[in-house]
Amino acid sequence: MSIEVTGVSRLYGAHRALDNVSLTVQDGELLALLGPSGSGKTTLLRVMAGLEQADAGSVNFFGQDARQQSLRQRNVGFVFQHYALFRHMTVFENVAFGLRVKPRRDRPPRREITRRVQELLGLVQLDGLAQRHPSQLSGGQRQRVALARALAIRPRVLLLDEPFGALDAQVRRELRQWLRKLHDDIGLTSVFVTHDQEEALELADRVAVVHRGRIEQIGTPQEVYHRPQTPFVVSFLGSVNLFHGRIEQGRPVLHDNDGRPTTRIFVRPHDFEVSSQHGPDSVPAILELANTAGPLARLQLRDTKGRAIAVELSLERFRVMRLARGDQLYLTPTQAQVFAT
Amino acid sequence: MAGRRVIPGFGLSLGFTLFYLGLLVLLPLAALVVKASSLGFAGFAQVLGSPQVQAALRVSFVSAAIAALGNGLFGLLLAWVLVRYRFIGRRAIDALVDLPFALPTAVAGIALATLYAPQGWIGQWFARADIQIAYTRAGIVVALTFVGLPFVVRTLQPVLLDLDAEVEQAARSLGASRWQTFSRVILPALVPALITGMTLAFARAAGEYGSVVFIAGNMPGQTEIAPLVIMTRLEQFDYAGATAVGAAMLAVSLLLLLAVNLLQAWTRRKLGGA
Amino acid sequence: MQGLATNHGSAGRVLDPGGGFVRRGLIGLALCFVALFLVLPLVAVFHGAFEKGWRLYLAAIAQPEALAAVKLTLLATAIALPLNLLFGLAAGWAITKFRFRGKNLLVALIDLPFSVSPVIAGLIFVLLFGMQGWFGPWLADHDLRVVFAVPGIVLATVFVTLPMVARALIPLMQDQGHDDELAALSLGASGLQTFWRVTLPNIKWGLLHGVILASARAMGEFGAVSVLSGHIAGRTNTLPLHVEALYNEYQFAAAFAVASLLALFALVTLALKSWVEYRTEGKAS
Repeated sequence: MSIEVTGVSRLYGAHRALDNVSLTVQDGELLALLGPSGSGKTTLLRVMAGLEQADAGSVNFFGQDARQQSLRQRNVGFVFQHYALFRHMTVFENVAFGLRVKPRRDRPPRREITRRVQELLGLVQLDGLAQRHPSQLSGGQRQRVALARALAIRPRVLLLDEPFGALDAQVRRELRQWLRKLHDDIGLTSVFVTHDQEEALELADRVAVVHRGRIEQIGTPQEVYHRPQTPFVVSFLGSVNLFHGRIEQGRPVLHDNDGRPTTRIFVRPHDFEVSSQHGPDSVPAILELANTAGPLARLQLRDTKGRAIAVELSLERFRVMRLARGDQLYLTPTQAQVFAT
Repeated sequence: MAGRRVIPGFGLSLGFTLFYLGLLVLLPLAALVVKASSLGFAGFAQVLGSPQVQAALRVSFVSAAIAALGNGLFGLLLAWVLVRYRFIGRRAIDALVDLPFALPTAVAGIALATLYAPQGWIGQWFARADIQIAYTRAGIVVALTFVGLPFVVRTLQPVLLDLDAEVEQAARSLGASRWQTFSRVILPALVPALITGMTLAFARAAGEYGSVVFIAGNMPGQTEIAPLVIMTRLEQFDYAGATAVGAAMLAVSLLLLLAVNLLQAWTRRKLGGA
Repeated sequence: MQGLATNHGSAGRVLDPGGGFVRRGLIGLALCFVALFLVLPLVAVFHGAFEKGWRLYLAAIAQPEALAAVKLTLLATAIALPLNLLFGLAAGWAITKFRFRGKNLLVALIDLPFSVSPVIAGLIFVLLFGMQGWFGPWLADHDLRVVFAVPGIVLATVFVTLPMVARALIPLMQDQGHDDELAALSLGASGLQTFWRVTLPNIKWGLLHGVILASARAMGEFGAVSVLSGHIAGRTNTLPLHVEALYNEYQFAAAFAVASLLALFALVTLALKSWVEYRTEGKAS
């Protein structure tokens, strides 16, 4: 167990940024803290790093109570959202910083520092840029300098705050894959914060979904996506349609017009069987809009009560069915998440 | 947002700050307050009730108010020109605006007195129209305008820079004339900063001494400023009199400072809510 | 910053199509005002200084009283500046790196010396250290003099320049936040290493800005110093007080000669200040 967070709370005035959070980071894993802005995920990361103190609860760092350790003793590699690169230093000096500030007896000799920095710059693919200043780098390059700087001190864990947040879409995707590969190569226990569910699901070994200062669910990407445990997790991980209905004989029934008690049923847009024929438990709806500019056909339908329903179909199926605006269709959920109201 | 103990040095830095402020600012000001309260109401009334002191306070505050108005006008003009237009020498003029801050007040004082004296470079032109500036209240206003100029310019400049160009373009596209755009869109946005700058200029001018004593005639009851009254009382070892006048002036400056802070807080709230 | 500047350039153009009459009129008016109000007094100082020729100018400056005044002015500045520099750094660190109650009050207190008339600044130290003051008898018993002596001048100088470095630093440090410091600490730097290697380089231009303004004010302070100085030529006169003394003795050329030194220093201050601002603007873009 690298980091064990137990019952941690953090208050900002009356606002509860973290509310009795417990979490264990496994050795060698890449863990994502996923949540909307203001959910407390960054606060959790900063408390883990020791950048902030918890008001209650404890953080255990490799078997030691982290409250006894100052930030500099924890040996954490932290990558800041806006990188916090030292503007007045070159890339080389930035990366070497953590080695140069070591007490004299621990400080590697000068030649060793140069070698390590160059090795790290090679690792993050910035070999030729050692003498540049941060202002002369692109966003993605700065990000990698920040990463190399954090790795230079041979940290026990690597913590990254929205590592791709400030980058544009293309660079984001490239860096994401690169980071995953880097993690696989060096096997360093890592935690990163993101608000992008796609990023969390693609990159992480495990995902912790954070909402209103609490962890809603923690599990592998497959688990949180396919077996969400709370309504928030369902709605945050991708788009979803909400129905009020019942489970009858193990199957979701999306009607709620007979006054009997209902449960909340969430159905993802791609979890519908679409037919022009009425089925046993199907919901009738009129096709209003169809967008086929993409890998899937995205349909917007409206049911008899005027509620919008989003549905995704393969382009092929869309063509075969020859759908057109105004068509009457019948939707049967193939898969659904059900929560008691 | 960092917790108390994450960054080191809190106790040391705050401790030194409070110690230093306490020793050099709070303790001396406390001496003034204690001395002033020992005078009692009667003592205060006696000093402040004297026609000479009243006249001096009036001269200081009225001249400072006129100077602040002048600063508002010229400060707005200068800030506008410096922010909006590009012309040769703009940078030099921008730097020169701070001259009243950088030039020792005594130097400014003797220079202004010499310029506006009846035989001076500027004074002689007024003398032909039989107007005297130096050694009159007009001279006091001139010196105080000089001293307060940077306040208005420096508070207006950042606000002018921050004004969204698109708002003006929107106003123009909606058919507003150039003057309408200025008076209805730009000026209202500048008013809080303008008032702040003018208040700061006023506060500075009311307490100003060095640049004024040379150009003011220092005639008791007519061209004598309040700080000079404090000065003369001190020279006569009349500490009670000096304290009473000083406390009264300090109270006014603190009220002004408070007003400026409230105004700024109010502006922030208003703009934040918008 | 450059983006901003071009933005506003274009805004100016929108308001002022063809760059015509209004623009030229306003610039002209502003130039006239600056010439009349700011440039002319400067010219008057240097004209007054050299009116009676070089020889008198040099003689006025080389007077023993003038040299003593230079020395005293530099001494007061040399004491006040490092103290207020230290104070500015401590206050900036405490106020911008931590959260605590009463911070706004503290910031307001730091500004207090600016809103106090220089004469009152002198008065309060007289009330503390003068013969009738709180510590006056004690000082007299120990044969120490503050009022009408050099320590009083130094105190007054410290007081009037107290907020300057802090005021230059606080907004700058607030803008920079404290992620850089946290990054340094997380990389294993000690508090002192963090301050020297990360914080100080980040704020050096702001610091320089504050120091320039503070030294200008320290050398030029008149009112407060005038209250606390005994006006003894060659002993307790600073440069501005020496100027006053000469002027009041109708030695105008000498007064302006000494004043020209101060004016020259003010011009250097302004040049340095705009150079610093130019550098920082360049860095920011």
